Amino acid sequence: MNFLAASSELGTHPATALLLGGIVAACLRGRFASMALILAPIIGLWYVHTMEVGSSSTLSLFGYEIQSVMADRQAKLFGYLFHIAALVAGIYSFHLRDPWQVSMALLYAASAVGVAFAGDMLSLFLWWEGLAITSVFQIWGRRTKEAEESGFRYLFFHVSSGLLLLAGIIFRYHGEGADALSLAPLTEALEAGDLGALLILLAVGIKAAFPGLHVWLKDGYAEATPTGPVWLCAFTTKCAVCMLARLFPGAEVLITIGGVMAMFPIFYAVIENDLRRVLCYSKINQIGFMVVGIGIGTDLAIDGAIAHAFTHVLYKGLLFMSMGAVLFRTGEIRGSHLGGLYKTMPWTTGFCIVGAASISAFPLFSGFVSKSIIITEAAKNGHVLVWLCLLFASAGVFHHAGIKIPFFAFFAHDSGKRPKEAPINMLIAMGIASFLCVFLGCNPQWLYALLPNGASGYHPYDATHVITQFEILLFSALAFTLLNLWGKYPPELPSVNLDVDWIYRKAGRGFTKAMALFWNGLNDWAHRIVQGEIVRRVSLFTRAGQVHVLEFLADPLHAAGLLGNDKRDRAKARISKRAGLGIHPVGLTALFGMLFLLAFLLLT
Amino acid sequence: MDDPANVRKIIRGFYWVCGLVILADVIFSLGWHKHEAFGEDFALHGIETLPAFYGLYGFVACVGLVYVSKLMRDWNGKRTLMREEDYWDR
Repeated sequence: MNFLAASSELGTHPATALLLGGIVAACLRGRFASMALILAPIIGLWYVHTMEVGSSSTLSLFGYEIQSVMADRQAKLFGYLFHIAALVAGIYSFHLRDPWQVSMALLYAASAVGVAFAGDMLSLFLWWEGLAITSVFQIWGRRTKEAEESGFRYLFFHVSSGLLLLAGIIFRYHGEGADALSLAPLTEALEAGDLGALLILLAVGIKAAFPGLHVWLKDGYAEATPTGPVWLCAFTTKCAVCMLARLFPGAEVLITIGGVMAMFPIFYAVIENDLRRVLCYSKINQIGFMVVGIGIGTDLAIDGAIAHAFTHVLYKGLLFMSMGAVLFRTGEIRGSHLGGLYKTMPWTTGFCIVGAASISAFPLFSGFVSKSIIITEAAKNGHVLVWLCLLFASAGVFHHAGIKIPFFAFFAHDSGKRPKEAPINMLIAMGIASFLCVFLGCNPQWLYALLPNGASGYHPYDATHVITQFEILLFSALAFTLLNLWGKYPPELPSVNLDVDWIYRKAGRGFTKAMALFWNGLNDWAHRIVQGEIVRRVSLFTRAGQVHVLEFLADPLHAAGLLGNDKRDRAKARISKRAGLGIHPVGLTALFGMLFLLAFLLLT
Repeated sequence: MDDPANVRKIIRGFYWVCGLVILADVIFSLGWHKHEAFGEDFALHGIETLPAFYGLYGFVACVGLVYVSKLMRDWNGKRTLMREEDYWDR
């Protein structure tokens, strides 16, 4: 393929606008760079809108045909979503003057669009790696030691994900040849025990924050800049959901994994003090719903999972924006140190409540129109236990994200803090996200029309759904209210909670220490034995050895008259002294030299 | 909001809303056909269609959630998962 053809392919890629935006933002400074944050997503959004469903394009690279773009309905929906998310996050980050953060944010969004439109495994892998590398700058941008270390831990997980994906692709390529590069579902291969498919699931699972692989999320997002999580929460995990829906629809193991994901984080969220970390746990819980939907695998359930990914980006972004505004204005995000901010940040409070209502799936808010599809499908397909878990998780998420976040940040006890309202760009971004949350909640048909199967036959607003949903939410709130009034609710305490990261942050450190102790100890011992004992003794032996040899030879040499006219004892003492000090007359040295040379000649 | 009387009013209003929703559920369950989540052949069918099932489940779930979470902080005075803020730096 010639260069012109390649560049025209690049020109038609839906990620081009964001890629160019990122490069331009890296070259410009000040507001000009920030303009790229707004213009690039708008141009990209328009381009995605003009793309025809079913179109595709290929690129030739290193002798491989790479299908760089495959525009189906799912890709297009995620394309819209990522551009809208980038636009909202771009407006929210408009005040940033750090070229690294600004440009990398756009390149990160571009990578996400690339993943959504990837036509085969190779293009997926390239964009997948792009996601890992570009996203970490939203953490490092905070420029603290904690953020730097957290960024490296984050990278470790995401680079591992990329390597696992590559390993999976190679395994499958060796087994099946070029067919293995397509993005056709791997559910059957996975259930038949194909190692390649399992590795690919693990790679996607890291990015989707599967249980046990989730800690990068609560670790990295909580250390990121105030604007960072708004970007981070939109792309990485949603790319994973997008790929799960493509590669593993109907994989039964996902129902169990999703159920666990929906359940365990809510317990952590209740006792977590860092409010952004609370949002991280609730994010894992919400992705759990999506994973269950994909695992159920019916057309409607997968539609529900994808719809939930769409609404989730908007309301979780909104919640992270409100908490980012609090952190930006007060420099504080611990629930124990916040409270009473509604007095001076009323708009942020209002937007946060809209986000909270949406994540809790209150009717007329966006979460309701998507989450209810998944819960209903779980029941309709006979997954009783999972249905109970999802109901529990719905109640729980209202409890910790719907009530706890706004309550402890903006109400609760008065912390005495009187920060200014959030900057205007942040308010505009939160306003847009709030509008979209309410708009989609009231007009779900707009979202349903974009779904791969159109959510056909599903009506969220029937009386049963609305009444039962209100019931579960209001009684969760009642539990919160009563427990608070009775003083039984766990107070916000300055603390951290142990999670799986204990394994590598503490046990791992202990392992390193133990290894250091063992191997360094072995090294010291060897040093002591070899250098301190053996070498010393050999040296002693060689030094004393020649003295003994010469003393032994002294008598016959003296008898032969070779040691001069001194008395025997005196001559012997002189020889011993010289041998001890290693100094001999030149003649003797020459004699020995000659003797050795002769011996050498004779022997050879 | 700083005035406890206002807070009491809000809480009282909230109790009323909870009561109204239960009432709506009861009336709706008795008077109209309710869409069941499960088919009739599932064990949970009977329980799920009971009026106020969802409310009770939500309430019990949240109380359970809070108590289990508290155990995750400490159990019989011994810390389980909670540590001091500088724990990771030590």
